[in-house]
Amino acid sequence: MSHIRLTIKESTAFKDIEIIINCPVVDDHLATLIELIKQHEVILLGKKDHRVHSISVKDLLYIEAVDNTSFLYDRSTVFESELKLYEIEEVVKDTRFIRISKNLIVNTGHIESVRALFNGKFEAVLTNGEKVIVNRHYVKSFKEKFLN
Amino acid sequence: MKEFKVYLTAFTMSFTFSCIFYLLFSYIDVFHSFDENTLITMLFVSLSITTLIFLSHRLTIRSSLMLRVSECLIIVGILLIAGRYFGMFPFTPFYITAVVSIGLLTYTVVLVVSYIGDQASAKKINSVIQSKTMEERQ
Repeated sequence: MSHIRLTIKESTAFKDIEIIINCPVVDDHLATLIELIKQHEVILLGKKDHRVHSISVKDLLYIEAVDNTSFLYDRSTVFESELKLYEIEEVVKDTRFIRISKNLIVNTGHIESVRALFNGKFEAVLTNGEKVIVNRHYVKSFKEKFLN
Repeated sequence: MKEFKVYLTAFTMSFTFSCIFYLLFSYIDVFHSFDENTLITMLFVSLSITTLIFLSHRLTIRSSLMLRVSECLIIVGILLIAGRYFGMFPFTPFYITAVVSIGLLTYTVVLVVSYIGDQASAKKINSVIQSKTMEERQ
């Protein structure tokens, strides 16, 4: 793992915040860093108790669709989203989220451990103790998310 | 391509183990000796079963139990057709029982080998999760 030099240029001349990464190759360590940066930057809006909240996707454990409505789950709260699950999937596509079933997208950054089930599925334990199931059709891409 | 590899692996395993089980049954004189015709027949049976299982996986069967039942029915169905219409084996209760046993034994072995492979993948994934967690804490 090569040493990373961090250079910050602060000036009122800049209108936006831009992060440029100069590197010879994007290795695993750098890929993790890039995913983390993206996770911090992507925000979703969620409704709870008639209020709209801005939620950073890094805080979400998983997103589930029930009866055509998407719900955002963090450690202790559930928010309702206006977006459909496929729309949310597009928003979080370069982050640590991955679809594990027809109705569920999970944040792999909040997976504590996984185990294989005899029926060809996988069970993932999340950091809050909840368990989610990776359906057979999604097992291949789930493995690739971690192992490639 | 990767999905094709999964089914190719399943086909190869099922062909190999069905041949092994046939040889064992042949050794104890349940079946006649293993010859070229037997080999070709086993190849077509394994290929037919794998193809039909691949097609059944295209259906939206949500229940794992129903999926396994459908896979077993495909195996038994193909074997019975092979015996009844293609003369693969004498179509008597004794031989039907022996052949179906081979089929279901082979299926079990393929499932077990796949499960062992998945367990190995789960172990690797857990190792990756642990190293990423340690990296982020540093």
